[in-house]
Amino acid sequence: MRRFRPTLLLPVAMISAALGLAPVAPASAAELVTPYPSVRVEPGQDATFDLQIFSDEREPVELRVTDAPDGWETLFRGDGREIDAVYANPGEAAEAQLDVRLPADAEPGRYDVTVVADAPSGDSRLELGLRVVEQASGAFEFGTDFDTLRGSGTDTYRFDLTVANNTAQEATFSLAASGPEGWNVTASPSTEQQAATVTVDAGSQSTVTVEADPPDDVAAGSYEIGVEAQGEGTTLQSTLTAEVTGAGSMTLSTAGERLNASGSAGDSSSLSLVVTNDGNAPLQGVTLSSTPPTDWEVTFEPETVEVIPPGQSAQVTANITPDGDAIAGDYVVTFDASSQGESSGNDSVEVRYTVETSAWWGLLGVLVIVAALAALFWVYRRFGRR
Amino acid sequence: MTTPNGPETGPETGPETAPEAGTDPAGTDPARQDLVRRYGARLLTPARRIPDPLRSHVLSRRVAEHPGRGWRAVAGKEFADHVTSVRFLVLFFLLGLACIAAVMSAAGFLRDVASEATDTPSPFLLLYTQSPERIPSFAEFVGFLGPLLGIAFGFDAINQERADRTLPRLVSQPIHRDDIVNGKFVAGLGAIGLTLVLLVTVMAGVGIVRLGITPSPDDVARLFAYLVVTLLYIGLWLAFALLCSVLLRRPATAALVAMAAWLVFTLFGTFLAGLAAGALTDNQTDEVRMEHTVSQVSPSTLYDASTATLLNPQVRSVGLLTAEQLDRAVPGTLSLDQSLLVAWTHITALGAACVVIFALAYVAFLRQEVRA
Repeated sequence: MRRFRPTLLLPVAMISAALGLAPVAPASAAELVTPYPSVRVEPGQDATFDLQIFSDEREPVELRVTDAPDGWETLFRGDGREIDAVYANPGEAAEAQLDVRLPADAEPGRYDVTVVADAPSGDSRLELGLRVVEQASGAFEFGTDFDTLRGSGTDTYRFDLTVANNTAQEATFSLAASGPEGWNVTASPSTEQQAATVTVDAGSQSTVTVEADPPDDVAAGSYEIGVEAQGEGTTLQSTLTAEVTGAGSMTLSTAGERLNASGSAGDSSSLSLVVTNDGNAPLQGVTLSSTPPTDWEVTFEPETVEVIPPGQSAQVTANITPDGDAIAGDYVVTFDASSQGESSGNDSVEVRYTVETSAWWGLLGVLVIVAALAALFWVYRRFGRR
Repeated sequence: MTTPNGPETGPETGPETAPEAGTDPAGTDPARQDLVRRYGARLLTPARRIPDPLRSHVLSRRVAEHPGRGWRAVAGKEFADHVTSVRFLVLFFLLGLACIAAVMSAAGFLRDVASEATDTPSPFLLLYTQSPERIPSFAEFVGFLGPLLGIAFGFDAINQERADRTLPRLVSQPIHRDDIVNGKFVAGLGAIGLTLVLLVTVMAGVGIVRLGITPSPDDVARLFAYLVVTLLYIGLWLAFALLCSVLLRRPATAALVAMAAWLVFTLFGTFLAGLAAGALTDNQTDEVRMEHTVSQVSPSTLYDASTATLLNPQVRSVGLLTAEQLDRAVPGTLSLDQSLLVAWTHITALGAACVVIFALAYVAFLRQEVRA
């Protein structure tokens, strides 16, 4: 058997060699071939076929599409130009391209496009198969992982958007963003903050950063930010949401901003404190407390402010009674304000409290001195007379 | 008693008391006649100065009933001389100015650290012991200048009388001879006590005005104890000056000797104690202990330690404290009786020294010859 195998395989090898040589020396005149005769394509997209034309003769070969579904556009290209024919040379493949542009509303299914190469030496037909599938996504799209951001009124909201180019061509879009009144909204490519347009390579995506800076006095709530990318005959739109949470922020100060007060030891004196809501949410149940020196008494009128709307302020009177035994001089009294609820805030202020000698003690001191001097005078009267 | 009494001063007393007190030795009142006969008209002088007729009468009678109290008459006259003297005024204002400076600076300092000072025990007493800004405190001023007060009222007590040749005349009065030295000592103590009480009181008034607090009863008790101890200490110097005036003929010499002693004990006491301790010991620890022991010979050391204890309730020892003794000791305050007990040895030592020195002066004076 071993002896006969080469003889058995010989005709096969000869057939193979004859087949391999077939394009070089075709039986018929002109022949049209393409490496990938059947492709998958989405509606609205172009399908491009690379065509090779072989011929034994030196002759022009006319190209045309004889059979294509309605509404489909076909176009032959050669070296970037629209062509209707190529010139074939023996032993050398002439190249051309066929673009098939599908309408956007093409139904999914199998479609055939027949290309005919019409040469003087003879015709050649090529059946091209297109499998139209459901469009997975648009040609260009906006995408984002996070379209809603939450933050406080002082934050800057930064959204990251992607512009996807699902086409085979590079695409350029000009960017525009708009927000509510008072908001400062910008959109730019992530790689270049100053750029107003973004260029996306074919089949890839590019990142766009949208920054939204709310005004200082923004109220709590949801704000919509619109982003537009115009280009390639289309307008992409996306709506982003910035949720501004109510941040309670308060400032505690004294009326007139004076951070000193004075009073006599043991006597009550009042100090007006002002609680200002400079946040964007109402402050609920604002209470004041104090850290006075030992044995001092501090009360507040009112003890609790029920609510302070944003931007408003409330006045609280602190009645400070220094310890009766306090030495005259300067003391530090710390006042704290805090609110309850979700949007709480707190602030504190230090007030320098000067304890003065009360008039009665001053009088007593003077009386003691006067009494001592009177005693001296009495001693003089008693013993000094001669 | 530099102003001898004579017939020429008698009639100059107040006319309102003249009829009652009776400047005339041959008055109609039998008790008064008896008094004049026994003590001489001179002794009636203090009594005559009291405008109230009733008090004059009572005092006269008390002198009459207690013949041993001739020292009162001497002391009264001597005290009157002291308080009206330029010497008293100068010293009073010198001390007063120094103490006002001390108290004002202490009060200013306390006002600056008011919140801390309020939390300390007995904040009012800080007025007398705080010395910020290099100005000595009230207590330091009194401790330093107080002996000067004692010396000033004692250095010429006896020898000036001798120099003026009034001593024989004084001795010839119908009083005991020791009444003279007793009376002069008491008069000096009185003038010193008056000065101290006035100073402490005025400073308390200044403190009340500046600090706005009043002393607690405990503070007042401590100040009183401080006054008593200070009086003892200055009385010691008064007794020493008295001794000098008895032993030394010239007042200037007596003053010089007394002031030399004052300087030695007050300024050089610590220095000399250190020298003595260094000579007596060769060990570092022993030297410190010895220096402390030797320095207690100085009354100023005793005085400083005892007043520091009395004016600061937080001081709990007058002696040296080792780290072992302070181990796990919690800072606290002592009550007045505990403070007094802590300082008691020092106070009794001061009192004993005062008594001993006065006794020396007393004996020396009694043994001296008084020639006309």
